[in-house]
Amino acid sequence: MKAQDIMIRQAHTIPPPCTIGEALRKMADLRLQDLPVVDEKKMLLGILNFWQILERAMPPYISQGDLPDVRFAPDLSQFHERLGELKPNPVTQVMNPHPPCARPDDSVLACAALIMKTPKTVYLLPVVEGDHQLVGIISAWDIIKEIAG
Amino acid sequence: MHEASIQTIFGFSPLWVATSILILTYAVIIAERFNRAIVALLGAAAVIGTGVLTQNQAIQGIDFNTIGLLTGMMILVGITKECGIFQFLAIKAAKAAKGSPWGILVMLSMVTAVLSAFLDNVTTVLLVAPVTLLIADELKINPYPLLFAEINASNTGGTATLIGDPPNIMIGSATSLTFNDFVIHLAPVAIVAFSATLIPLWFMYGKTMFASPEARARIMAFKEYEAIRDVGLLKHCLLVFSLVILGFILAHSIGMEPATIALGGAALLLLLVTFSLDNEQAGHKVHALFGQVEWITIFFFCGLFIIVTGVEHTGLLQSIADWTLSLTAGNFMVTTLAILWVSAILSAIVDNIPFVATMIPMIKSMLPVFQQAGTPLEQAETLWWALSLGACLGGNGTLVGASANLIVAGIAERNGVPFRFLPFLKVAFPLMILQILISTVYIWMRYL
Repeated sequence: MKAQDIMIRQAHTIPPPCTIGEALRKMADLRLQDLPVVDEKKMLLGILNFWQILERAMPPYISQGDLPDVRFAPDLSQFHERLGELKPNPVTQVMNPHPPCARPDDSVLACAALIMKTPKTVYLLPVVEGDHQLVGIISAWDIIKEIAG
Repeated sequence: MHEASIQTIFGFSPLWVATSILILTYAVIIAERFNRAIVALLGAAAVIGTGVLTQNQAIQGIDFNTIGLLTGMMILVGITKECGIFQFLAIKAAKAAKGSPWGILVMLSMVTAVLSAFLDNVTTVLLVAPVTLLIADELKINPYPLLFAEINASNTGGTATLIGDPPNIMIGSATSLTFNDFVIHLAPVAIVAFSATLIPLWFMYGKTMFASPEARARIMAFKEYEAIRDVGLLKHCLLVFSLVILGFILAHSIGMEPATIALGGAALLLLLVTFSLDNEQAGHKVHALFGQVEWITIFFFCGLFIIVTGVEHTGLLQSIADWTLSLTAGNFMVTTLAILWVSAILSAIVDNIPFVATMIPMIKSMLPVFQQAGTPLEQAETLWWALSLGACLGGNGTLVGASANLIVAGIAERNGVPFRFLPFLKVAFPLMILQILISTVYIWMRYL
């Protein structure tokens, strides 16, 4: 079984001028954590991951683990402020511009190995061909389905 | 003074070889190019390899009371920090100040000082500084003054007890001075030095610190009890810490050394936290908790003790002590104050641990001279208090003066709060001088 046999060809994507706020709304509507960012020629520019947006909105002392537990704070005004400042910016500011990518003829095993290399919060593997043109996506669920048989 | 075991090494006297190893090791440690534990161990290996000391002599030179006390306290703190008590105390302190920025600065400094008196300074600031950043963010104030005050409080609080700062641990271990002696002789001046520092901080920062009522309300909405992550663990930690502190207080009467008490306490707490686990789980847990010990510090100490023993063995330190006494004309007051000021200035610039390790045998050889000259033993012991005050408070003088300073600076920089050498020096050095002046007056009035 190859990547092209399990990938989703009609993937939801966002264009580079899309703002982080718009992307967050799309993620909420579609219940997706990751969105590929592609230009008008379907060239893959990066992957936008919800947790990376969240990390940017968190103060570093929380996101970097200096203060791992903030249960004592009912709410953090600074988080909402930082998120508010982040929302009007284009997604290219937060996306990962160099995500690991599969090729259509890569094996499922190779795809699983690639997705294991991504941060633990990213569950999406773009499949590209030629000059980085997005032809589909493979989610962790597609790999689980394949392994489960 | 000991006789050197061999006459010459490669044509050089052991004194020159040991001195060269000491200077070279300290120079490389100061350069901070290589890990200090590696450098100290290589220096120690050179001391043995060149025949200055035999391996047995070198091993005897390691002060296992210091090593045991440090290791025991590191294990105790490593376990205790997991229960969230430090965050609880920091938030409680901020709420006690009713969200007032200056009140929070004072309260957080007090918490840091008290914790640093009983725990190692690095752990204390590592746990208090992130909460401070969050509080400052919520108040929308510059966190720099709060963090600056905490650095100062950490080094000053550490001065107050035998277990507060490594120089005190080393001094306590090398002498017959008890935990209570340290509290009686150093805590009063540490409290005065801490309080006095707050006055210039008020004029520099406090006067202009302001937070809106809404921001203060956000701090008051914090639920400090939610910071306690494990109530069962907290109870165990409080029980064992109380026993350990009681042990330190009674150490002299029950004839136990601080290392035995700290390691005994660590073993008891390890037993309590692994009691309900099966053998395999307990093994993993103990392995992880032993991993909390800062082995770099422990091996650094081992290496230093051997290097300093090598130099002591050749008689160099005795010669320097004699030379110092000739410089001060054997005047006890001048010698004491010289030790205080030189220790403070040098500790502000270089690591105070190697400095204190070198000073201890020197002061030990000075004591009999003063006693023979008629100085009572209790008064002669003032030399130790001078060394402790200088070495501990000196760490406040520069950004590189103490490990806690660098830790706070690192956390602050990661969070976009610049902590640079010169701006820090401009405020910290005069404050350190103020604290040493206070110490001078204290020593002069109480002992001289």
